[in-house]
Amino acid sequence: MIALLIMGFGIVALIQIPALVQKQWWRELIVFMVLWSAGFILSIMISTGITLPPITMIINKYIIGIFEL
Amino acid sequence: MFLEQGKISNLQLSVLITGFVLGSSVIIPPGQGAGHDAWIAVALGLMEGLLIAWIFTALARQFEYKTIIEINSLVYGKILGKCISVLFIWYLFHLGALVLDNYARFFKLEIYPNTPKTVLFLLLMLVCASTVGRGIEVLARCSVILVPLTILLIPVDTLLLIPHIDLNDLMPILDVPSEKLLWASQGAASFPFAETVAFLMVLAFIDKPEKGPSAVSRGLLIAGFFLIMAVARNAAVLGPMAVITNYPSYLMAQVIDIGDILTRFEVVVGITLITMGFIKISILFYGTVLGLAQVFNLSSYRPIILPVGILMVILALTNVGNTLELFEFAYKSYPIYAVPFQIGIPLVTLIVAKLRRLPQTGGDQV
Amino acid sequence: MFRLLSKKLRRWQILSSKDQTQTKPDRSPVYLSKNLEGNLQILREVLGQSSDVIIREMKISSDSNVDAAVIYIDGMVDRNLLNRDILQPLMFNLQLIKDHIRQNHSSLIDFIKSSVLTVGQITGTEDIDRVISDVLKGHTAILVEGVNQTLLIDAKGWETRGIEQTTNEVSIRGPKDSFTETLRTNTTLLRRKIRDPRLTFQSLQIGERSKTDVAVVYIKGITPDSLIEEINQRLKRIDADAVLDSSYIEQFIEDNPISLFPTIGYTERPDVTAAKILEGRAAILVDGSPMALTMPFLFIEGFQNPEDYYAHPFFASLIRWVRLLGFILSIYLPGVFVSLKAFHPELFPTPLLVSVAGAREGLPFPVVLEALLMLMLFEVLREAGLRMPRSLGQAVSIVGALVIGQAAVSAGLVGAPMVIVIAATAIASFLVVPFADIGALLRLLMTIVAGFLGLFGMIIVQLEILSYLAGLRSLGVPYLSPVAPLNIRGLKDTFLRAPLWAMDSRPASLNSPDMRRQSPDQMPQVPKTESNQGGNQ
Repeated sequence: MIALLIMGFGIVALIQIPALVQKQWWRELIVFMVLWSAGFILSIMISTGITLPPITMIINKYIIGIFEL
Repeated sequence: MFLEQGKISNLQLSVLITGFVLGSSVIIPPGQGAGHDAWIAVALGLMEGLLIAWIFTALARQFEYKTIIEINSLVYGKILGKCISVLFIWYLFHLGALVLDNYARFFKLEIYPNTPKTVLFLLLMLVCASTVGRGIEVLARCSVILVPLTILLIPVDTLLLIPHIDLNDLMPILDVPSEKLLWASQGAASFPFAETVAFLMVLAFIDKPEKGPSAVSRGLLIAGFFLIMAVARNAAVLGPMAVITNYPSYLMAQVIDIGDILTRFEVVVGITLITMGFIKISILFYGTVLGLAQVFNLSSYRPIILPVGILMVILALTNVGNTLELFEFAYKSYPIYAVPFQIGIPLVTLIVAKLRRLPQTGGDQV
Repeated sequence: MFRLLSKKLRRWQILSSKDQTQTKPDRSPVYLSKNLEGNLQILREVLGQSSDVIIREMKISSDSNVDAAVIYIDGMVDRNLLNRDILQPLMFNLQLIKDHIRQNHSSLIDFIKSSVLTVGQITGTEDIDRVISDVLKGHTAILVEGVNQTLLIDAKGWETRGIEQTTNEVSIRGPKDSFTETLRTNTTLLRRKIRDPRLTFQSLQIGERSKTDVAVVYIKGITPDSLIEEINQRLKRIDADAVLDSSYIEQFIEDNPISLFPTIGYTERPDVTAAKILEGRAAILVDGSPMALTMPFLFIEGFQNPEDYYAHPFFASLIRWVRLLGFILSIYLPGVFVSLKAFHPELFPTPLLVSVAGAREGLPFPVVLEALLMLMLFEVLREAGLRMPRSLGQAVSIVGALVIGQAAVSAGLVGAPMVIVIAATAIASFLVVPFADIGALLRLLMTIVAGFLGLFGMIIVQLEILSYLAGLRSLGVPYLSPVAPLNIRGLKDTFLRAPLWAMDSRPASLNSPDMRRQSPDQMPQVPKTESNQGGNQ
C-alpha cells in the first residue's frame, strides 16, 4: 500500500517538477512542493491507520455546540 | 492577471450555473426538514438565493469583473485581503471535498458496495482535474452539452412517474410549522443556491460583462424551477417516506416500471448525476486552484492542480462517519457555516468597497 | 545510461544541423554557357545515366549548321506534341530561321520562342537548376549552340488513371466523379464546379526529393485570410524528403499530432470539396494523391455525408440521427454489455437476464476477455478482408463471420449474446467513416474500462473524452462547434439537415467574411392560380 502511494506521488512529482525547473518557475515549484509534501505525508498517515481529524465533523460539533441546535 | 485566457459566453455561464446548482442537489434534495412542503422551502430558498446572487454579481460588476481574490486585495489591502481570500478558498476547497464525498458515498452505497471509496474519489477527481487543467472554456463547453441532457431527464422522469403521483401527499400545504419551513428554506438557500458564490471566481471571464447578472439569474431560475419540480415530485410519489430515505430521487427512479422493460431507470438517473457532479466539483476545483494561484502570484495554476486534487481527496477521506452524521451537518450546521462565505464576504466587501469608493479610476495594483 | 543519452544528443544534433547544409544551398545559380557541348556535359552529369533521360541532338533547320539539343524524360512527355510541334518546326522551317541565323544569332532563341514553336506554354531560363528540376517534372528543354538560354516547354503527357467512380464515398444521387492522382485534373474538376474568378489555387512545392506540387484552394473573400495565412505558415515549415500522399501533409500540419480525432478532413469527391470551400474552408490538393484535404474539420463533419444534401431534408435528418446513434452504439455497446454482466446483472430487464445468464453457463473466460477476444477477431477479419485479393474476399468473410462465430459459440468459447453484440457493433462502426478508426480504439478502451470499473468507470472515461474534445481546436476553430460553443444558426446542419432553401448563411464557426450564401426567401413558392387552389398548398 505504501509502495503504491510512493509510486503514485513519485509519478506526480516526476510529471511536474522537471517542467517547473526548466521554466525556472521557482515560486510555483515551492507552492507545489508544499502542497505535494502535505498530500504525501497525510496519505501516508491515512494508510498507516492514523485517523486524521475529521474536519467537517469538528465544524459540525462546534456549530451545533455554539448555537445549541 | 492572465492566468486564464479563455472567455465564456453568457449562455455558457447560465448553463454552468444550472449544472452547478443541480450538482449535488439531485442526490441530496434541498429543503429537507419541511416535510412535504419541501418544495415551498426550495422556492423560498430560490428567492433568497437570487438575492444573494444579486449581491455578489454587483460586487463583481463594481470591479469590472475581477475575481474575488483580486477584489479582496484591492478592498482590504494586500495582507488582510489575502487572508480573507484564503478563507474563501478554504470554503471552496471544503465544499469540493464535501461534494466529492456526497457522490462517492452515494455510489458506494447504492451501486458499488465493494469498491473502496478512494477509488471512486480518485476517478472523479482525475476527470475534474484534467478538465480544469484545460481551462474554464472547456468546462463551459462540456456543460453546454451535459446540462441540457440532464434537464431533459427531469421532466421525463416526472412523466414516467405520473401513475405513482399522489397529489394528496402534498396536502395540506403549509401546515408545517413556520419555524421549520423557514429553517428549511434557509437551508435550501445555502445549499445549493447561494453556493453559486463560487462563481465569483468565474464571473471574471465573461465576454459580455453587461449581460452578466441576467445570465446568473437565468441559470439560477432554470435550476430552481427544475429542482422545485423534482422536490415536489419526490414528495408526491414517496409520500411520508420522502423524509426518511437518504436519496429520494434515486429511490423514485427505482420505482419506475414500464411494461417490465424499463425497470432499471435509476441507472440513467445515476449517470446524469455523475455529469452534474462533475460540473460542480470542477467549478469548485477551478475556483480553488485559480484562487491559490492568484494569492501566491503564480504565473499559472496548472502545476498545482494535481496536489490540490489529492488534498481534496484526502479531506474527503477524513470524513469518516456514517452518512447520517453527514446529513446532520448538511441540514443543521451547513446553513450557518456557509453564511459568512456566501453572504458575509461578498456583502461586507461590497459595502467596504462602496465606502472607500473603489475602484478608483486609473492605477490600482494588487 | 549516460552513453545512451549522449548518443541521442549527438543524433539530434546531426539531424537538426542537416538542414543548414542541405536545404539552403547558398550557392548562386549556375548559368548556362553558350557552348552547347559544355551545357550538355553538365546536364548529363547531373541527370545521371538513367535510360529514360533522352538528349536528342539535332540541327536547327535542315541545312544550317546550328546545333541544338532537345532534352526530355521519356514517358513524361507527350510524344505527339514533341514530334509535331517542337521537333518538326525546328527542323523543317527553312527560310525564316536561316535568315535569323545569319542576322542575329542571339535572338534566335527569342525567335524560336515567339514564332516557331507552336506550343502553349514556354518559358526561358538561364539557370541550370531550374532546367534540371523542370525536366524532371516533365518539361522539355531546348538548348541551342551559341545561346545561353534554354527554352522550357510544358508538353507533359503521361499515363494516368481516368476519372472513375468514387470507391469509398458512395452516393446514389449526386455526381459520381472522383479525384485522380494528377493535380491538374483535380484542379480542373474543381474549376468546373466553382466558376468564380475568385477561386484561387496557390501552388507550393513541398518535399526535398519528391518536389511534390501542392495547391491550396480557396475562394478569396469567402475563406478568411487568417486561415490561409496559417495554412501557408504550416506548409512552409515542412522540411521532409518526400510527400507521397496528402496524408503526409496532414500529418505534418495537423493541430494535435497526438490526437486520435482527425482535425483535417479528407475526401475524394470534387463536389464535397467544392461544397466545403464554399462554406468558408480551404482545401489542399496534392499531386499524386486522389484525396483532397479540407480544413478546418469539425467533429460534426464526421456525421455529414454528401448524400444528405442531395436527398430530402427529412430523410437526411433521420439518417443523421441514425448515424449518430449508431456511432454511439458502436462505441458503447460492448462496454455496457460487459459492465452489466460483470458488475450489475440486476440491471438487465428480467426476460433478457434469463437468456443472457443461461448463455453464460459454463463459459471459460471472464466477460471482459470474451468481449475483447471478439473485438480483436472482428478487427482481424476486417483488416484481412480489406487486404485480401478480391477473389478470396467473399470466402473469407463468410468463413470468418458465420463459421467462426457459430463454431465459437458451439464450442463454448463465447456466448451467443456476445456474438450478437459484437456483430451489431461491427456493422454500426461503419456508419461514420472519418471516425471508424477512432471508434475502434474508443470501443476497445470502453470495453477494458467497463471490465474493471463498470459503468461508473465508463462514464468517467466518457467525461474525459468529452472534456478532451471540448478543448480540441482545428486551425483555431473549436472542435465541437456549433454545439459547444453554442451557435443556434449553425445547428441547421448538425443533427438536422435544414432544407436547402433555409440555409442562407455560411456556418458561423468558420468565420467567413462573407456570410451570405443565398437570399433568405428561397423556399419554393408555387404561384396560386385558379387551377391549383385547394388541395395541399
